[in-house]
Amino acid sequence: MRGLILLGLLASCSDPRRDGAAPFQERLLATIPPGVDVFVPVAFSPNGLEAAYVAQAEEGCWAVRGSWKSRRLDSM
Amino acid sequence: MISLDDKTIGRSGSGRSAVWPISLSGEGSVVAYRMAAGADGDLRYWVIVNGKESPPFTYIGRPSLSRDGRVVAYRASLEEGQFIRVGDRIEGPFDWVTDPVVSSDGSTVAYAASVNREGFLKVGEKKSPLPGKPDMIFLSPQGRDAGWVERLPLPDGGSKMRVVAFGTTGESFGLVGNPVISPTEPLVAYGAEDEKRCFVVIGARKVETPDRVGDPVFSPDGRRVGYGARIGREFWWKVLEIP
Repeated sequence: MRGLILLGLLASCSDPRRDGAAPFQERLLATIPPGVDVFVPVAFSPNGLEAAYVAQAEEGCWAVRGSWKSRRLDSM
Repeated sequence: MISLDDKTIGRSGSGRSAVWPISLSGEGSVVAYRMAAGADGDLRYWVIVNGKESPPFTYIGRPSLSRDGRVVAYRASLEEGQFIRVGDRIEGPFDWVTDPVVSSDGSTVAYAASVNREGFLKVGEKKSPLPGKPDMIFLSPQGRDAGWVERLPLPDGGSKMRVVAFGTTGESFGLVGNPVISPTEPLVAYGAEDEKRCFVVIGARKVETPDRVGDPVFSPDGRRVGYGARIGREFWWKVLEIP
């Protein structure tokens, strides 16, 4: 069965609360691992603390937001 | 299926499919999404907000939510015309109407529309005449000020886009993203592209941003503009200071 997942985080990534991290400062948010492609669009939280994207590799695809990863899916 | 983080909140099926994109409140607690069913010429759309389903319409635009998700507004079409739906309240019919925007605090809903071929901009209860048909409307966080993006036809059949706000018309670009208004002063920022060059425009200032992949936003104190960028295999948050 073709799975379709639409992740709320990619609609308009909401502001995360992260203790110790100053919002709205220039920073590296994420590095795409080797062997992984990224679907566009990429979402950014308005306070500049997180990026969210859908990653695709040979073994499937999954969503990433900050340190969180979704379960692996056939397709998105 | 439709998921919010690891929680499944909706599923396609029974002939209905989810319609991209979905809308999320600023606090991330409320999701509004559309479902569609039927064949060409007999399509029906629904909006589902936190599990509650709207009546069917022949078309529904992308919902706009207040920051806390308590106010949800969208454009809805029926055979007799186009409408704006705010919660369970309906306004219209209109000859045409843009997608509405909701202020961050939910106090104001704004849209452009036409009745009897007379165009107007409605911001809360205030209506003002509007020449032409804008592509989109945008609103300040408190809902006091609004602007719009208009499209200019070119002789070769193409078009350019430009931003109008605070009595000023901006430069024309091939593509303009979603403009935002400063929370502290009459200043607009937006992403723009023209002839394969990418910019962030802040008022009359144009900054080339070749790696930008997201629309700019103002910081809460209005002193900086931030945007997402992809540089090689890295995602960055970039910041521009406002002089």
